[in-house]
Amino acid sequence: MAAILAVDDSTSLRQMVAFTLKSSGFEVIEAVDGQDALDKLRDRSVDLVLTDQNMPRMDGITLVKQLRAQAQYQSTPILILTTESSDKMKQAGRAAGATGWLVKPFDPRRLVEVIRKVLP
Amino acid sequence: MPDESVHLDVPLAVGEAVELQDQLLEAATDLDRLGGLLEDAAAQLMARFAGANSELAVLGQGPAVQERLRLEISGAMTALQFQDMASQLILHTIHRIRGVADFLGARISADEDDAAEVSLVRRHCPVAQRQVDAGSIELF
Repeated sequence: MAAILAVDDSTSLRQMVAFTLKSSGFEVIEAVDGQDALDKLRDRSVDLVLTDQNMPRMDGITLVKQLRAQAQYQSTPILILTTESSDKMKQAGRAAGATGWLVKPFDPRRLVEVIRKVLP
Repeated sequence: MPDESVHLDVPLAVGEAVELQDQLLEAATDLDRLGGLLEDAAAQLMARFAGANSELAVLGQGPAVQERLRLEISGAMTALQFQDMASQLILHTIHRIRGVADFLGARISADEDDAAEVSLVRRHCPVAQRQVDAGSIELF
């Protein structure tokens, strides 16, 4: 069972992501922002990271950069799920090393399809 | 998009500025309360959807009916994400309102002889969506 780290400062969004992914057979670990995500990953590893962009303490793009600097997560799929839709932000995410950019709101079925597509 | 500063030089009576500041701060408080209501409603709706989805498993209906129901629930969950976008817009508006209130406060306090660098900050709004249809997906 693949493990996914879902990172978002919105409780309702995290619940929806967790509900969607758990219903499709994934294990889900939740984090409230980028710093919490890094703290959680000290104790365990995951197969994919799904992160919001605008979060307190540490935003999504910074989290992507931090994870890509770690040998363990250099090739792990990292998807950014955010309300931001500008090309400038997308390019920043791409430059940071993100695997993909998903604009909210997400369609549960399409989210699962994309995750299954990028998981090794 | 980076925030940008806007410099204004508008004469304002102290009494008017104080009243404006109070009104703005009350508006910010009201918006904060709205955000709380939306969060509570979304949490309750989410719990109901989870319950409905669990009931699907024990329904005595055929796979086709269950699939149609799952499709409807999936669509509803997409729409339910309005709360996340609404919360971000509310927070952005609160920041803007408090920014204007702080600006007025700084203008009230500014020395008459002091050409104080008092400016408003235009903040980038993270939400551009006008509807709750599913957003785009781009794999790099």
